[in-house]
Amino acid sequence: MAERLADLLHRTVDDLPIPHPDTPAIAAAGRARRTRRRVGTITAAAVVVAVAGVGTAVVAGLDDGPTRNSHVATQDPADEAYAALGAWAVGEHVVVGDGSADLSPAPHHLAQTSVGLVTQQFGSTGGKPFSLVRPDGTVTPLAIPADAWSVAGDPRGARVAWLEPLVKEGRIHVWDVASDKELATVRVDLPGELPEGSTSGVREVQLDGDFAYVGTGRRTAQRVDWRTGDVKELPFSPVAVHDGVATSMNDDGSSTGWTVVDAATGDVIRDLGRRISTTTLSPDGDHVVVVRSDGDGSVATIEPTAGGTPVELPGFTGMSSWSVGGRVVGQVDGTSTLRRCDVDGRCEDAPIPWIDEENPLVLPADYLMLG
Amino acid sequence: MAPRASRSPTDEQFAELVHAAWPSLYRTAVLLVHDHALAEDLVQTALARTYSRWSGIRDVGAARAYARRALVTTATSWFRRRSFRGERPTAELPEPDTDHDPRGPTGDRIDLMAVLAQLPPRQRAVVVLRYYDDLSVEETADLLGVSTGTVKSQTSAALGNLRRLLGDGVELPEPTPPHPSLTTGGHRG
Repeated sequence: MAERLADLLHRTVDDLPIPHPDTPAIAAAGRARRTRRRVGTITAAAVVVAVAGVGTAVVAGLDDGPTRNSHVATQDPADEAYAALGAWAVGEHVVVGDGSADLSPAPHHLAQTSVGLVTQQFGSTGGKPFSLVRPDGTVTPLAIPADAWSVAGDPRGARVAWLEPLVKEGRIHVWDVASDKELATVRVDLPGELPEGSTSGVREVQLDGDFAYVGTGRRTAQRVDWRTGDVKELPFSPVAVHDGVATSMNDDGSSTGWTVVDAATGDVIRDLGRRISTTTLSPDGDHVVVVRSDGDGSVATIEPTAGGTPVELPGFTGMSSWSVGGRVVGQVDGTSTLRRCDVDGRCEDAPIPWIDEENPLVLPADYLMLG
Repeated sequence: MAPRASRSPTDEQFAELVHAAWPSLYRTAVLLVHDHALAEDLVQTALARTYSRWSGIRDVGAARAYARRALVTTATSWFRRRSFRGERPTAELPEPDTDHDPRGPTGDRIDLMAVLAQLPPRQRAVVVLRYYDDLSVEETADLLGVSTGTVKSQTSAALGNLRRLLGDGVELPEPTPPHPSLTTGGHRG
């Protein structure tokens, strides 16, 4: 006889041994949270907008070919706004700098490139799930194959890349989103247990200039020069790679440790520690946002990757990303406020239109919307 | 009726709340996150959030509901972050592993937590809240901060997925049909 779902749920957990609560520690964590919330509120209210400078200077300092230079050289106000203000979406509304576009169905993933946002829409009609939304709001459907399950953007180039998994190997595809043409296809060995032809996607490519990185099943990375096809195996598991700097996550089974490494050698630059929920690396590789769990929820900080004093970001617990110009952009937890912060922790707030109960969340760049 | 206080509750009342609410919150958390250590962290965080609002609480009875809401919202935010820790989810629920018997190798007990872990986070939350915590559609909507229609559609989707994953071994409730949509073509998330 079939068992009722409710009965099965109760049988699953009702007899579990219950750990003893540490009430004084919980109260202490609550007091700390209350203090931090007050400080955060005051900081957010008092800060002055820190505009331009940071973003423009970072991008202007780069030198990676005509596409990237053109972004800076034109001094196009729309491009500057994209660099400074970032890109995000709420439901069908996609914002790129001070431009916006409506896409239906709503995009589930946003990849930042130097020329705009590459959006991915599940269930789109016409067989073209990928589009380029430029900072002036124009939308161009891209011919990227529909079976590219997820693309990674290069914030310093007009390119995206993705992995086509095969059996024990894969193909890395690099696509120029400005000309809408494939630039390269590079075959790589993928030793390890997965994905072996799976499209369920446990790996993603990181694109950083001339190099693409893809993790193997052995917790190493293949560093691929997609222009020449040269492949080098590196001893780390990459999460993000920008300007030759990578963040790496290592799970030893009991806990997860994060490090900043030299993407060319795998040498550890900095140990970020454990009990970290997530990290996001700045486009120039100079800073990293770290969200740490301390038993009292989460705290986000910006930290120089080379080491230095962390700066707390009030109101963020992880759903944030970097603008291509180097500012952290994200939704303040549980509100309809968008907060942008520079690397010194100076923030500005703006109301987010379109937030409602059907679309309560901002989709930042590089996140995949669930459900 | 829950006792009402004219002033802030005391730390002793918070301790009473922790001891009273801890077991049920912990069991709910285990179902939500499928990990005992994570569940303990989750409950501690939820109760710490509750304590951080303690001075503004006038109804100790409502504090328990606040703690449960904090538990669910914290779990949801954890799901979102975890989704970017190398666990790139796909657009659709993967096809269930039909070779995998949900009753496990001995064939006598269904590993429900493993099955729940295959559901998208919001579907998992509505299943746990409605069929373990026995909350109504309205209560679940209030807790998750969504509409009742969303709860009904998520429940329907979750039960459909459970039906595929569990087969005939479990008697699943009939989902409450969502209200007819009154929108004029706008996107429904």
